[in-house]
Amino acid sequence: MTRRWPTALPLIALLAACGRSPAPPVPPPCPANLVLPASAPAQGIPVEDTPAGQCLAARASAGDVAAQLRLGDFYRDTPGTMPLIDRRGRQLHWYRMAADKGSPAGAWAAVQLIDINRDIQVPNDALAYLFVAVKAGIPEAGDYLVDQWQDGRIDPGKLYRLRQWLARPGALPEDQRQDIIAGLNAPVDELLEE
Amino acid sequence: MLRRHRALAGIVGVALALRLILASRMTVFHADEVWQYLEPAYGVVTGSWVRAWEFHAGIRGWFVPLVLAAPIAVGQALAPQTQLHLYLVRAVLALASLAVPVAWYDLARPIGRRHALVAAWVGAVWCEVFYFAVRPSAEAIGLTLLFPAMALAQRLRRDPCPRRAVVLGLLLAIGFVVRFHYLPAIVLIALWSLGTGWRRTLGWTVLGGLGGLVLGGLADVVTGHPPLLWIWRSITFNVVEGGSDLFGTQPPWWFVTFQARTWGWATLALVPLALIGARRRPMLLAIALAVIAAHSLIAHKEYRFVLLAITTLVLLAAIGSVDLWDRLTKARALPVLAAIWAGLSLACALTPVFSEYWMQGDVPFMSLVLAGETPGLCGFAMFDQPAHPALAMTMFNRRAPVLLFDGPEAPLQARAMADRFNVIEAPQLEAGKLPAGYRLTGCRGSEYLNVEDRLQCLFVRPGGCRGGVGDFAYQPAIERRGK
Repeated sequence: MTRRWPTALPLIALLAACGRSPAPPVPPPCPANLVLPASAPAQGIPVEDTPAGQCLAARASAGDVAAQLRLGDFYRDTPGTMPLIDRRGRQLHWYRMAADKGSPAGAWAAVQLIDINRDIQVPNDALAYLFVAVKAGIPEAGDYLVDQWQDGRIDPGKLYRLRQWLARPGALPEDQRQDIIAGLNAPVDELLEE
Repeated sequence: MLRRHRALAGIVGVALALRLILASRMTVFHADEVWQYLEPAYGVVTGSWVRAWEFHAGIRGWFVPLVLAAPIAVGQALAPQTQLHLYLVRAVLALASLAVPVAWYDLARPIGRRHALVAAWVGAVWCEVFYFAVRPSAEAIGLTLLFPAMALAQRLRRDPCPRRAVVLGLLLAIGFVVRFHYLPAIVLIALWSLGTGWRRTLGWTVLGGLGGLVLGGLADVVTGHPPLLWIWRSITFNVVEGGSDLFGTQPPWWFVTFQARTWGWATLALVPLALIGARRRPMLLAIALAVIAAHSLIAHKEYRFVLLAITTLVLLAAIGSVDLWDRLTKARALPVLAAIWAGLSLACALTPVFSEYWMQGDVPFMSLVLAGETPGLCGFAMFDQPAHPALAMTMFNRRAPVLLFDGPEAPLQARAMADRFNVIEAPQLEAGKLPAGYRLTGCRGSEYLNVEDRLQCLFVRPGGCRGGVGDFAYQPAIERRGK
C-alpha cells in the first residue's frame, strides 16, 4: 500500500492543481516615488485606470499585499472627493485581497467596511476577517469582538473554534488573551437585560 | 390497480395540493436557491443574471440550473413580462417531489399496508418535506432523487432486476451531482441494494451511475465548463482551504440541538418513534446517521445540509408510530394516526424556528418583482441594502440597468448619478438621503413590519434616464465586495 504512494502523489498534485486557477505572473515593481493622482477619480476615472495606478493594480492583482493595502488606503483617505467612484467597493476589494493573503491590517480594515449595520448580526465574512485580526493580536480587533458579542450580534456557535484557539496558552499575549476570554464569557442575555 | 392504490392516490392528491399552495407563494428559504440555481438558470435562458462569487470561483455545477432552465424558458416564451417562469419552476419541483411520499410508501410496504399508508401520509403532510418540495435547492432536489433510490435499493435487494439497477445507478449518480455532500448516504444506499443476487445487478448499477455522471458532466460542458471539476474545486475551497468557515463555524453537536429546536416538543415523540421504526429499517437509520456524522465533521453547519437525514428520521418515526399504535391498542384507526401526524406536523410548522420560514423571502424578492413592474422604469438603484447580492434578475425580470449605492457616501453618490435611474429600492428611514424628486410608492410587508425594518421600499421619480451606470453597475460592484 505504502509503495503505491509515490506513484499516487503526482496524480494528487495534478488534481489539486486542477482546483486552482494558475497564478498570474507578478509584474515588475512600481517606481519607488509613485504618486497616485486624486484628480482622475474626482472625475469618475478609477485610479487603477491611471498610468501610476495601473502599475500598482497589476502588482496588487498578482498578490502583492503592500500594493493591495496601498490602493485600499488611497480610497480610504479620500472621503467626499469622488462621488462618481464606488469608493467603498474599491477599498473593500483591495483590503479583502490583502486579508485573503493573510494581512491582519487588510482583514481589520475589511471588518470595519463590511460591518456597518449595527442593527443586524455581524456578517459572516466580517466575522471571519475579525478572527484573522484578533489572532494577529490587533488590540482594537479584540475589543471590537468582545463589544459585538456583548451586544448580542454574534451567534454563540460561531465562536466555537475561536474559543478553542483562545484556550491555548500562548495564542496571544497573556493579558490580551485573558481580557478577550473574560469578555466572551459574559452571558449575553444578562448583558442585554442590563 | 387504481382501486388497489386508491388510498395512496388520495394521499398523493393531498401532497400535491399542499405543494401547489406553497408553490403559489414567494418564499425563499436560503439565498442559495436564488443565486446558485435560479439566477444561472435564468441566465441560460435570457443571458442576463447576477453571477455570485461561487461561479467566479468555479465551485458550482450546472446540472440543476440547466434542468431549471426548461420551465423558465417556457415561462419566458409564454409570458415574458410576468412571473410565470417562477410559478412553473416551483410547480415542476412540486410535481417531482411527489416521488417522496410514493417512495416512503414503497419503503414501508413490505412491513405492512398500514405502515406504508402512514409513511406516505407523513411524506405528504410533514412540514419539512413539503416546505422543501418546492425549493430550487440541492438539498431539496436531493430528497426527490434519493428517497426513490432508497425504495429501488430495497426492491433490488429482494428482486435483482437489471432495469431497476440501471435506474438506481442513475438516481444515485444524479443525486451525487446535485448534492455530492450526500455521498455517505449514496454509498450506503448502493450497498443496501446488494442482496444475494448482487452479481446480476452490480454491473448495471455501475452502468446507470456512469450514465448519471455523464449527464452531470455534460451539463457543465454545454455551459462551457470542465465536466464535474467544480466538485473538486468545492471540496478544495470548503474543506482543504477552510473557505466554508467564512460562513460561520458551529460545534459538532449543533445539528442535534438545532433540530430539537426546530421540532419543538414534537422531538419528544419523534425521537423514540424513530428508534422504534429503526428496528424495522436499520439501514434507514444508518443513512440518516451517516449524513449527520459526515456533516458534523465540517465546522460550517446549516440546518438544510442534513435535510435528507432529518426527513429519513421522520420516515422512521412514521413506521415506528404504527408499531407503537399496534402495541397500545387493537383498534386499527388509520384516520386517528393520520390526524396525530398532521397535528405533529402542524406543531413543528408553528415552532418559533420553523414558523419564520413560511414568509421568508417574500419582502426582498417581491419588492424586486414590483420594482421590475414599475411603469416607465428606465434605471434601478439599490440603495443601502442590508446584504448583497440583493438583486435577482429572475425576479426583477427586466433589462433596465441596475446600480448599487451603499455606505456613508451613498447619498452623495446617488445624487451624482441621479440621471441614470428613476426607481430606487431603499430603507424607508433613508428616504431623506435619496436624490430630490422621489416619492415612496410602497414598502412590501409594511402591514406587519416596523418602520425601521422596512428595508426594501420602492421610490419613484417622474421622467426618463440619461447616461450610463459608470462605476456603480451592480455586477462589478458586488464583485468588488467579494459577493
